[in-house]
Amino acid sequence: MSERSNLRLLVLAVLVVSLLGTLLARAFYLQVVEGATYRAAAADNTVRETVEPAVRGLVLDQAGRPLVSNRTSVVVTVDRQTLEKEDDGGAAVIRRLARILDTPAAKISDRLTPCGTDGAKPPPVCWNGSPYQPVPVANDVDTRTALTIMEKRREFPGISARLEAIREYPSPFNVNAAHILGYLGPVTEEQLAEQGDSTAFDRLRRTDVVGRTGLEREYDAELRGEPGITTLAVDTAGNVTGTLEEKDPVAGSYLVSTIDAELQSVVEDQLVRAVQRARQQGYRGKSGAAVVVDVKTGRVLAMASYPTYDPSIWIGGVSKKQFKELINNESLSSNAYQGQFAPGSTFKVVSTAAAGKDNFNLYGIYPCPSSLKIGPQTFRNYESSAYGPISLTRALEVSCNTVFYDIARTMWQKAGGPDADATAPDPIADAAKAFGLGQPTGIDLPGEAAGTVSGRTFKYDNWEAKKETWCRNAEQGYPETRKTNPKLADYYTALDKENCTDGYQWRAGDALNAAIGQGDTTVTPLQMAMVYATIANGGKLYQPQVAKGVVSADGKVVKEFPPILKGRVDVPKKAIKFLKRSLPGVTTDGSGETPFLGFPLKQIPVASKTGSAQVTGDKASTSWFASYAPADNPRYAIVMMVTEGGTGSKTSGPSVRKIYEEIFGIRNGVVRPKTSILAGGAPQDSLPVVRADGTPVTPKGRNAGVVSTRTAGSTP
Amino acid sequence: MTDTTARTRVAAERPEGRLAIMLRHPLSTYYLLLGTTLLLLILGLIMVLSASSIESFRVHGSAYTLAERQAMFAVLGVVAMIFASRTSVQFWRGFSWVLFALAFGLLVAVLFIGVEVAGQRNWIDIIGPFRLQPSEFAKIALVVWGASLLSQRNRRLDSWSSLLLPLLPVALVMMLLVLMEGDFGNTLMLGAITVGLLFAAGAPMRLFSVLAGAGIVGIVLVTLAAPYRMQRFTSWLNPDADRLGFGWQVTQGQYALGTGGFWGVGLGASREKWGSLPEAHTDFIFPVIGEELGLFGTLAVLGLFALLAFAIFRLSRTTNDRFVRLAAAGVGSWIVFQAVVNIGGVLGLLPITGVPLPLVSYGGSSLVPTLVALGMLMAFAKAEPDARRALRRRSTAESLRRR
Repeated sequence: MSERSNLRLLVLAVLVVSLLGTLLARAFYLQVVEGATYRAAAADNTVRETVEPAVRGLVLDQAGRPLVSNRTSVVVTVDRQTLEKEDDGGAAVIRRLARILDTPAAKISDRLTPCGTDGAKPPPVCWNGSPYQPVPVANDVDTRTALTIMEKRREFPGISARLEAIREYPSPFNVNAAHILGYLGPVTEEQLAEQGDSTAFDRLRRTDVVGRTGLEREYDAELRGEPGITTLAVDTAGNVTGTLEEKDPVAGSYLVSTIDAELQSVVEDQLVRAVQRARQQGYRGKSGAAVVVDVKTGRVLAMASYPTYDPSIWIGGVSKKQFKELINNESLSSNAYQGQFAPGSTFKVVSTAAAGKDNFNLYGIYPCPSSLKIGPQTFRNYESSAYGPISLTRALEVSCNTVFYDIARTMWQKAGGPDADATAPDPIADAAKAFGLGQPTGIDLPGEAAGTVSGRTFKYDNWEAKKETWCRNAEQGYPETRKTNPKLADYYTALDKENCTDGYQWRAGDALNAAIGQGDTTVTPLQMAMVYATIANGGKLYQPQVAKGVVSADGKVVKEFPPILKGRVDVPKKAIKFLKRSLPGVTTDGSGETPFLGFPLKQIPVASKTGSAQVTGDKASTSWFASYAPADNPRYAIVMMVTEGGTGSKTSGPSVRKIYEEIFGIRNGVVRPKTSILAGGAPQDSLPVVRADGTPVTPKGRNAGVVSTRTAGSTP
Repeated sequence: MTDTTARTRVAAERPEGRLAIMLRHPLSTYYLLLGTTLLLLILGLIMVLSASSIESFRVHGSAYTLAERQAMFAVLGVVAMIFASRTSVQFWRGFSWVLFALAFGLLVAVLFIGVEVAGQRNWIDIIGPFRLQPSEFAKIALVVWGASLLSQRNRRLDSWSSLLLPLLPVALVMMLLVLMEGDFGNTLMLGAITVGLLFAAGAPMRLFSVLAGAGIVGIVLVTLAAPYRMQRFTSWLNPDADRLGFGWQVTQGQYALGTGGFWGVGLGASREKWGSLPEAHTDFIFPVIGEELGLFGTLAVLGLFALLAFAIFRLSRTTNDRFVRLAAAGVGSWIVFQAVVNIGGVLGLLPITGVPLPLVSYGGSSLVPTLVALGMLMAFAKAEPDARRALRRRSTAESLRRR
């Protein structure tokens, strides 16, 4: 309009118009010309995935024998999508299926109901998987029924029978090992929350089962494998219109354990016998544990806990009643690495090491009276026996408490007696910590207990934590108890008053109790086994292991777990040397003599230490037997304990002897190495061979463990 | 046409379309600018409410949170636009260096105190939930500063150096700064503004072939440097190859447009916004418009942008003030180019660059500067001699009536 129009701007305007025109043409093309195509594409553009879980890897023992495997089971599944297309919503099909499977139709319907909908039964009854995934309704269906279903496709639309892998425990030599192997369970909400909005194909899904305890949990990632994923295109009506992506599952790897199945079964058996021995003596024999460690590597060859349970009860989920039972009989946790017990006299090796570190003369003579009086309290020997002036070696042999009381009292006085604070020297607690007590050993199993090392710092920390309660109680004077029992209330009040003001003090009595493994000190049997393994190997602190390596399902070594040396125990070499010279005497001339009568100690010397720990409230002491052999060239450390079991030598000792006999191949007092239960006479250094088809190569003949080695793990 | 009666007479004598008569009104450019801006803004608000409801409910628990925020940005932007439309040409001219220094300072500052949002470190936290994106601010600053600079270089434009210095190197540094923040889209916009300014200023055509060559090389290099841009580019060439990955967004966008057809599935009835189409309320709002309002809706958006462009370039073409001409050309090339890049991207004609649709997409830091720039053009349109005369007459008439 203006005469000043600029050609340039006109060009620009034309450019803009043509650009917008192009866009318009394209929009017209997309929306109108090709609209129908895109509309159709949009309608079936939803994507769903179905998941085929990978076959979980096996757990093998150190010789290749399967401890956990899979068996195939015929599973009948129902595709809800197909059923819903039936005129009656599939009711007739379900009735027919119920008849052929011989179960109530309501049970199948309950199973098909998605969790969270109206009227759904709580899991595991309701279906908590994808609506596009066929729902398994029956396991272990016999082949004939399965074939009938598959043949009469018309009568059973949407129903199919397929093979599925189910966890199985082949139990070579009737081995149990429940606490080591662990069990599977559904994914927990926490695990799902932890991985957030992950879209990785191998993420955990609500339908997955994962290891919940033991090796199954610790090595879940290795055992689980990768699921097979089929990505389906689904239209708005929910019909599958095509397959976008297919990924085959990758079977989980095999975990090779350090456990020897045959040894484990012997140890389990001997632990039960030890408990029975306690009960024959009239004790309660409530629980027990036994651990066998290779002192040269820290590998755990066997580890048993009493009471135990049958791991196969977890297959397919436990009922509430079963679970309650497991909780009530306290069989779910392992006493071997989760139970904490007063170590009693087996702890004296630690006190001896502490004495060596604190420059006591290990080869000196110490008085062993029947009792030691400190203030108003009298500290006695076991059965109040007195041995007079004896060497420290003899004190270990006969387990003389008063010798160690005297050493502990001297240490305590040197540190400043009752006036010393928490930072004053505490050699026995230091030695215990140096041996790894009071902290988890780091074994590759979840939920390990740490134990406690009683000492100045422990007492002070304990007081810090409890003083408020104590002081409050001392002030209030237990008004509730006072109503019914004023005397008891007075006693409690006085006790708390003392605790409130002086509870942090490390007294002579505390020090004396700590020296003989009593008082507040607790250990796990595994920790004790590692202490004796450390003495046996000359002071090397290994981290115990139950897994030796991972082998892929087609036989390739994925990784090996070499022994983990944590360091050297911070105790003088001379003290370790002294212990190694003294402990065999316990078996030949001391408290460990009786159970080893007739054992060829000349050929295979055994170093040992008994313990009978007093536990407040228990009628009988905890029976401990800690040992290693051969004492001149140690290879194995064995620790066994039975709570409320009586003495170490009477209850646990004979079982430990039997285990050594089986390991070294001792028959009627004669050593025949060929009869050793360890295939080849010793633990295998290398990983067992797994064939390309997934079959592990197991020892032949007597050492095979099972009548027929099932081929397990190969995809059905 | 200085006299109303004269104009009516002319109209009576020579039959003319009503549209032509309306367009001849001295304030028509101003009204066109105001009208198209407000219409696009309102359409945007409605569509943001519709497209963001699902995402908003998923993230914030209320379907209205994002729409409320956008409404707040719109109010803020309109207030700023009204303020800008009441300024004078001299104000912007005098203010240009200050604006430029401020923008440049912010661009440098963001490198040090910037906050990263969605992979782009180009935000500065101000107070509370308010954030400033200096690269959006830089666009209006470059327009004003560049226009002011080039308008002073009056008739000496045949000399390349006087034209290019210091505009081109400074613009390049700005683009580099914005690129370092990871904002490829606004880098392109700054380039478009520079080219628009130079073009309107009458730079020789040879220059543009050089610039085009350099631009293509630059874009190729920048694309190769970042794997995600490369993937965007290859998936643009063949969206079906990677339908579930990088091609997903474009494919879903086209599904949405195709579903819309002529008349759309109805306002609020989009299916793609239910999670299939990412960024449905920001960069990919155009497909939602196409799905809900059909070709009718997309046509309306394109038409409104065409009208807006017409108004802007008309102002640029008719004005006698060199500064106004250049500033209008700068703003015009910015808004049009941004709209074309956004719509072309979602239509599958261009690779995805991640720029919002001006005035329509969700986002305050893009909306407010755009509204300010348009407000500035409204002020320029009102300052044209004819328009000023018409306004003066109108206010005289009003004051007379009041008396």
